[in-house]
Amino acid sequence: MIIVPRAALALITLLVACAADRDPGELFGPAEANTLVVDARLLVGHSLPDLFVRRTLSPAVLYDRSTAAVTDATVKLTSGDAVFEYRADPDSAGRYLPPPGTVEPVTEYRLHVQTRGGTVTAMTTTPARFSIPGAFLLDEETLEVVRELRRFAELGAGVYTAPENQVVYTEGVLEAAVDNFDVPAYQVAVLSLDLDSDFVLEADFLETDDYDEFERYGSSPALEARDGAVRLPWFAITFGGRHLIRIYALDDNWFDYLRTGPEEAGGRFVGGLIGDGFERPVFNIEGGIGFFGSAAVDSIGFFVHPLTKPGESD
Amino acid sequence: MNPQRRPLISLLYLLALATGSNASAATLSGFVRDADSGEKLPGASIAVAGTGYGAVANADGYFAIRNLLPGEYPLAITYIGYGDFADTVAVGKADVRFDVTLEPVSIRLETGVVVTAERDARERSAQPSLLPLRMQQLEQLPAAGEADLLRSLQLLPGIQSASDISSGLYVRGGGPDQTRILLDQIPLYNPSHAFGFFSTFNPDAVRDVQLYKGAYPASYGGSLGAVLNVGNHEGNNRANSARGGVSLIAARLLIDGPVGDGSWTVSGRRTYLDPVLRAARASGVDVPDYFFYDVNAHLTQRLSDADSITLTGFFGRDDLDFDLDAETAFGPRWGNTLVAARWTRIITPALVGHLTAFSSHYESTTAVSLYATPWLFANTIRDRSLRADFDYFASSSHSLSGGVTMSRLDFSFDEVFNQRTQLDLRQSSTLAAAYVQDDWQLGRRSHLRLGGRASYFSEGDRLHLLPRLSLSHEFRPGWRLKLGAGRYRQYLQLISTEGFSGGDFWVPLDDSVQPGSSLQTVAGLEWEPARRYLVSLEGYYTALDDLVVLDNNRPADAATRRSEELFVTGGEGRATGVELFLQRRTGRLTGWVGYTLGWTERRFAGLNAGRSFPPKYDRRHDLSFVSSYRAGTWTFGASFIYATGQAFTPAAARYTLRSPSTGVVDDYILPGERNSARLLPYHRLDVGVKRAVRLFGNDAEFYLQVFNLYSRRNEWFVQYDTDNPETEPTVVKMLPVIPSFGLNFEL
Repeated sequence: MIIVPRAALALITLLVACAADRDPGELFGPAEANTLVVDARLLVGHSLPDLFVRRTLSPAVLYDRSTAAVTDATVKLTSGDAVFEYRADPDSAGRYLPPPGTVEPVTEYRLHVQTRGGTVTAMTTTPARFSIPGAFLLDEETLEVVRELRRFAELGAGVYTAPENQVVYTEGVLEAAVDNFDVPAYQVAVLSLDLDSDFVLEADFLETDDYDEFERYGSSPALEARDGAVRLPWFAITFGGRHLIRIYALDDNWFDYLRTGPEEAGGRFVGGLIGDGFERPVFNIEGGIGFFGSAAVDSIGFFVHPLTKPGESD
Repeated sequence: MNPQRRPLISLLYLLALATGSNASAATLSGFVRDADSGEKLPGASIAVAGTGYGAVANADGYFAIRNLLPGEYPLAITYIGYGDFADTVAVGKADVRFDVTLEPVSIRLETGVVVTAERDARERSAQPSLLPLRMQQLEQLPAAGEADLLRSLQLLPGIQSASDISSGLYVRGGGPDQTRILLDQIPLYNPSHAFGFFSTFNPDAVRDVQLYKGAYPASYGGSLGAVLNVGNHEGNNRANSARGGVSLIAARLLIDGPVGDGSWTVSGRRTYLDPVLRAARASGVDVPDYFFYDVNAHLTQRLSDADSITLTGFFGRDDLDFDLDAETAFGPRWGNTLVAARWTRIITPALVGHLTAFSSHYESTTAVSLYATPWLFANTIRDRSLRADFDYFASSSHSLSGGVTMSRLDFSFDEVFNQRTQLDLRQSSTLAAAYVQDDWQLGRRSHLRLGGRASYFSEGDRLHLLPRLSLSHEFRPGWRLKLGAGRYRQYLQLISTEGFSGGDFWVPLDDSVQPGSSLQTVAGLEWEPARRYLVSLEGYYTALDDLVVLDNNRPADAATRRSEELFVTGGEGRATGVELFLQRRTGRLTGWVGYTLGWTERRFAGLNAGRSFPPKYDRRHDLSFVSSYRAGTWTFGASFIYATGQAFTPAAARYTLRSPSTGVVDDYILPGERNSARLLPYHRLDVGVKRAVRLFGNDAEFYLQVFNLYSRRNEWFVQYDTDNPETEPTVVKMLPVIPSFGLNFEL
């Protein structure tokens, strides 16, 4: 009979040993190192952008940007008969500088990158020019317009001091109108311009260290804005002071990358039943991966004041 | 032949069979009931000795044997777990009503044996892929905190779970939405409490369970894979009684008794973690306020010799409130409400009709406030149905059943972000279904079940004809060959997370999307060398078409109103495998060994570059040992599971890109082939011990259970930190060892 407890003890010992952790390196699949990665963003009405050419590295090694940089590429941007030859930036490995030129609206641009490791091509058609017709502060209960914010076209940098553009954190709802309905989607970027401004966000559950995690910039997922407006969630604002809101009207490449990219895919509240949302983005790049997309952009600016709590004075 | 006409011809053929009778003969009919409680005993076997005549009691415990010429007949009634009944019945020219009560054998007390009584021995012999189980059997298994039906079922071959805290059933390569869950034959849309850690089925209230893992019969529909029917106790119509239990998590109580000419039962369960959580919050720990409860009620009344009615109710709620501060909170709430009324009438001794009206309502609301930005998800389903069924004991070799169901399905699914509606799905649909089925006893050794189901869904005016077939043949004593096949359709889609279940969302498929379809085939070999043992080997193949999956890549504010906007559509899939089941059903030592070798894959044009891939729950090997040993007043239980690790998508490379909108450089991980890697194998040992005692003059039972005895930290999912290229991937683990204890009692 004594054999039974001994056998059970041996079995449990064996099973506990099986409970040991494993090497995290085993969690990587077959490496797809040395795939060419291109990175260029065209904004309508802006100068031709600089461009990066890098390669992927194995997931099992620490990422090093200088190792990943591709310095010997031949980079060309073409639009109709126009050819824009890029040159390598001697001060920044993997960066390529454009010749003078401006990105035109509703124009097809083709990228051609040639290296000893292969050829990468991509194409984008730029959207039409885009301007924000109006930005508003709405009543948070009735969603009626409380006031219209002044625009850069009217006041330039004076928008930050205009009385209409002084907003109090979490009071009301900020909304911007959009009017370019030929694009698949918009993206909103929020930038806190006063780098020494204080937090307006105060959460009881956050530790002091948690505040170090907050960035002074952020961006939205792809937004359709079918009803002609986008709303700014308050969780996008963390700091007080001047804020610049950029709204991008996207081309198909930017839209595809945004909706399937690492910042967004699988990030929804509800998931699917067949995978965990960790899916390769749609890059629309032939011969490699990366980003080659275009957008038209307009901005609004305002100043964020902290919420005055009951019992506190300004 | 026009394929559309075949079901009609089959129906006429079945009706022709049913009408054959001998005008000078009589019908012997009656109910078979438990002598102690008066509860019906479906599946009891009734034989007229020496004649070859016989019958099997239907779901109400009713039987009818036709064409008996005047005379005296020795009648034998058997039912596992009850003493045999033998008597002589005199039959004249008139029909004879003969109700029988069977004495339950106090096997547990007298011999220390736990009987795994099969109420559906006949059903199991006729139907492949059926697991009939009594709750008493499942209660012997060790559990984490509370005995739980669905988590116990996950120990059976062909059935898996997504994680330690998921009660979702993944049956033979299907997702949890592909198993239709019924409570007393009424659909229950979300069977989970505590995000899936427990199911909504109170173990005290449950009497038995039928799980059709595949090729299920024509009387059921609405799912691509499997059907689970949970039967609740009717209540004791002889005497008042009560039983219940307390565990570390919840308390439960069931009371029942006679009323009028029938019985009633009410059972309830509620967690009592609230004060503990409140105290933790008071001491500054951020924990949510949470509770769940459920209530079952049942009333049965016999109105006359021919009529009876049954009223059923179920009400369950989960409520979580996590207020992190004044502007950030998380509050999911969900629950089911089910009410049903059923009228049963013996129209003629050989024909029994049932009319059922029910409403099953599921509601799920998740209100989130993130730094003063409100976000709301709300989903409701209201299924109001009227169903008429019949059982016709046509002859000793034919039993016909059939019925029609009309359902009105009202859905809504809303997502409101920052006070703007982003998802607004509303639909009122009609689902109509009709079925007919013939159980044909081909001599003593073979059983053929032919059936057909027609379903009509108003969205897209879709009419589907769905044939079903099963055949069993006992080719030598104790050896049975089983075959089954059927076609199935599913009109509702579950949107859930993979790691846990809980506030799930159901949405109907509208006319913009084809409803999913499956073709299932099953072949099995079964050996019962004695009543004590069962050995089963079964293979299955399921082909799936028109699958959908939530499109995670649509714009965040897409005002979705159509199914085609919400889902990636047109998916295909297949699941195939072999299951081995060795069971010891009686004796001091009971239990089983189950093993499944399986393959599952899916393919969507819009996913994984159109290449097929295994879903996360694809498991090549799944092995389980389950045992219970009784020694005097002590019962020892243990279960061990070993399964291939779940599939996950590995990292293939690291790369860098600037954010197009902010220009900030970020490091990223490039995903490899979808679900092409495996987590470490899953294994877990649970043990438990129970001791029966007398407490204040009543039967009681103390138990101690240890979930995950050797604290195997099984892997749940992999996380890559894309913000920091120096960070290695993290594997998030499942539950460690969890001991628990409690008390069950009877009054």
